[in-house]
Amino acid sequence: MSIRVAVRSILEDLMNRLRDEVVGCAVSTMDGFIISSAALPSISSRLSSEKLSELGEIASKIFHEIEEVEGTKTRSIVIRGSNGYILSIAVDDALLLILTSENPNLGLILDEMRAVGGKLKELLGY
Amino acid sequence: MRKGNSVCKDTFKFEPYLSSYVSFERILREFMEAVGESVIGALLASRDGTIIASSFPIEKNIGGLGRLSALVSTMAEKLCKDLDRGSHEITVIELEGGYLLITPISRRIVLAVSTSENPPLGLIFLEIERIKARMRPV
Repeated sequence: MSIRVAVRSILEDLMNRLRDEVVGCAVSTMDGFIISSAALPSISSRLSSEKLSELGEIASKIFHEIEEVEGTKTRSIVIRGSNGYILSIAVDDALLLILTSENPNLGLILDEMRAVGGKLKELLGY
Repeated sequence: MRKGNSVCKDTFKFEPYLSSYVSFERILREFMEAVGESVIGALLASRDGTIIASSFPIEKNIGGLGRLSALVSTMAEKLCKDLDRGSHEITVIELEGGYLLITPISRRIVLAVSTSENPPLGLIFLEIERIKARMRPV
């Protein structure tokens, strides 16, 4: 199984466990390149690869800028919008990115994200 | 003719800005008092990253933080818009030694709050909402 397919299966599994909370998720490199992604059918048509790349690129830029200015590592970034959240955690040299529904259970999602982060670390060999 | 007249005129012209500055400082000071010691400092910056007011200790590089806050706020707004998440309300960044909270206060001003490792985030969010309400006319 290729890494891309394996990562996609981890993401789909995450989506199934957080069915009402998460509308889309992706894994990108720290340079902002998407490794794999998964989204609910209802939004997958609007969540183009261009938009996902933009998400990866901007999230990684925020991680880098913070490290440069604050001189410390960033664990997670939570962006709250009026219609939902954008969450991002660092998994060594990769980023796990999640788009949520409007009123998600953030504690549960962050907990699941950390668990998935462990699996990704093993898989990507960091 | 006395030169003093023109000096008085200039002072008068800058008075509204001076009073805004004083009230920005007061808002931050009251915020710091309300949230307690878990908050290291807070600052208000314009959208280009210029510092408007700060309650950080003098040794902190607030210039860099001001620019970072403006940048993060702009990028978060773009992401929220492009990914249909509505308007940007707040960005919570968990660092190794604490949190950095960045939120737009108005179209022109961004608030950044830096905390220690285990802050009362709920209380801080409430106080940030109070600042937003107070600064709405600005």
